[in-house]
Amino acid sequence: MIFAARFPYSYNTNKMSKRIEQLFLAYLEGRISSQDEKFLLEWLKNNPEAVKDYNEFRRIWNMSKMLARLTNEDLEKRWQEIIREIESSPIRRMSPVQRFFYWAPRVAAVFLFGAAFSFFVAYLVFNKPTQNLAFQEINTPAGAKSKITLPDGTVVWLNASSNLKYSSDFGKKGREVELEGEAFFDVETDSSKIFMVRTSELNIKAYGTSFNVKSYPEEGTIETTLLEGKVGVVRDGLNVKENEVLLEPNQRVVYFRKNKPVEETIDAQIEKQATETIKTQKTNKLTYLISKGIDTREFTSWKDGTLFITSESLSELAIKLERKYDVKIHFETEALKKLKFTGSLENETVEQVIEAIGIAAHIDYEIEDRDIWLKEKN
Amino acid sequence: MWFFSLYSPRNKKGISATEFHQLFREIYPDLCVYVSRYLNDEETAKDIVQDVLITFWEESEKLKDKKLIRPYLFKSVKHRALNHLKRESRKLPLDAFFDSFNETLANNENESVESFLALENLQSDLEKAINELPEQRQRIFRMSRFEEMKHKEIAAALDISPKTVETQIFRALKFIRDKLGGE
Repeated sequence: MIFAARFPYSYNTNKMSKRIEQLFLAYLEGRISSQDEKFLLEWLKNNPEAVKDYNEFRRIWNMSKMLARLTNEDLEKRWQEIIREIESSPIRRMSPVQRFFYWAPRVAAVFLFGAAFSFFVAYLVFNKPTQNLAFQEINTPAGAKSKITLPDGTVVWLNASSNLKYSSDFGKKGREVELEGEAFFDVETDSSKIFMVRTSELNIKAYGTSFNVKSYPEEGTIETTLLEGKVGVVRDGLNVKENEVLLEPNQRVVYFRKNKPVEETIDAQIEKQATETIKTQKTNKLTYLISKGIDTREFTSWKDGTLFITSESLSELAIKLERKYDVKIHFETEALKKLKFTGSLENETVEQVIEAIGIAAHIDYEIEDRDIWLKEKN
Repeated sequence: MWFFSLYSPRNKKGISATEFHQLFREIYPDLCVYVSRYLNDEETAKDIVQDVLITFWEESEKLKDKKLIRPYLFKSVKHRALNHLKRESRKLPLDAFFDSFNETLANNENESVESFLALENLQSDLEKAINELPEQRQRIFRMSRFEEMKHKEIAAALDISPKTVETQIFRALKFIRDKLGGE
């Protein structure tokens, strides 16, 4: 009866209290009918003094079940889950300020890395463009010549034993070609992009024009002959504004290579034609000879297969013939080299040319395959 | 790497990782039992406790007084449990009735540090109370709660009347209530 005394409220009857306990246990065990549940709910609402006790029973019921479920395995499993969650998302519940200071250095680091990488790539791409560019190169062997049309429409006639080189981005920024040997340029007009011919020592800038450049490495001079338009000639590495030599149509400039003595290369004919000389200020060495009002055909006709010879020495003529016909001309005596010739050659064979020279100059010759010997007449 | 660890949430903790593990082992069962006062779904109860412990660890640098850890955790799981009950929509009318009763009760509860400190040995107190039950009653109660047998199954197993089982279960519940509430 101690137990009865612990119930401050009174059940209507002992039978009723048994009935309620029965229903309540059915509810706790999860097997109560909805009808019985309604009844029990109504009873609880009408007996508020009993609710605290039944609520307590329900609590103990659930707590006891939990107690049964608290195993060592569960404890270990939950601890592992906590560790995993803490390590995987440590910033999950940070305050906004904490989150900023957590993320800011990371984001900054990523941006810095990205920027550094971009600069690195840009450096590779823009700083060494020549390494990434391919060159177009055209070679003509001795005895041949070729006609090339550049990407911008400029037409180039390349003489024998010559080499023309231009980069694959020709025409994108500027128009530059490298020349070794002789070429005639008919430059497509484009005022926004200067056309420039680089030779071993001389740069020729053209402003929409046609001109001829001769720069064979074995010769002591680099010659530029202008037909139309305007070109500027300047030695490589020198300031353009102060050192540029400007040519008008029908003018020709002969540049003397730095390391070759002028005396050896200078030709009396050239000197006679020259109307202006430019000397290097420091050394007083003759650098340029400019001839005005010349007949340009003499210097450009090679492209049409014609050779114009105007009072040229046999040595000079021999070089031209060697190139045109891919032969080698040998002189028996030095005196032979100084003989002068004037005339024009068109479609003659090398034998015909040599025969004509022999008749005109009274010299003997011998032709053996590609070798030609010129001899004094006995 | 200094700037990575400087703002790391695992830096400057109020307690060490070892201390946290120790705390977890001690308080996890008590918190689970405590949450079960409000929730009859054990998995949800355990999830709430787990979440509260993670949050506590991540914010433990704010910790001023180590003595307040346990009261703080009990209070946290209590409020998380009550919030969960409010959001839960589909439930039996009787569950809803007890939930709202518990809510009212909890809102009027004294939330002093001392009242939470009293819960510190909740799990062992409950265990002790069950162990103190008379043999037959304890046996029936354990079969009901630990093995989750219906009272009719227990009656069949022990070859006694279902009414006796029913009576014994209620006597056990009353005994435990008196034990837990009376101290």
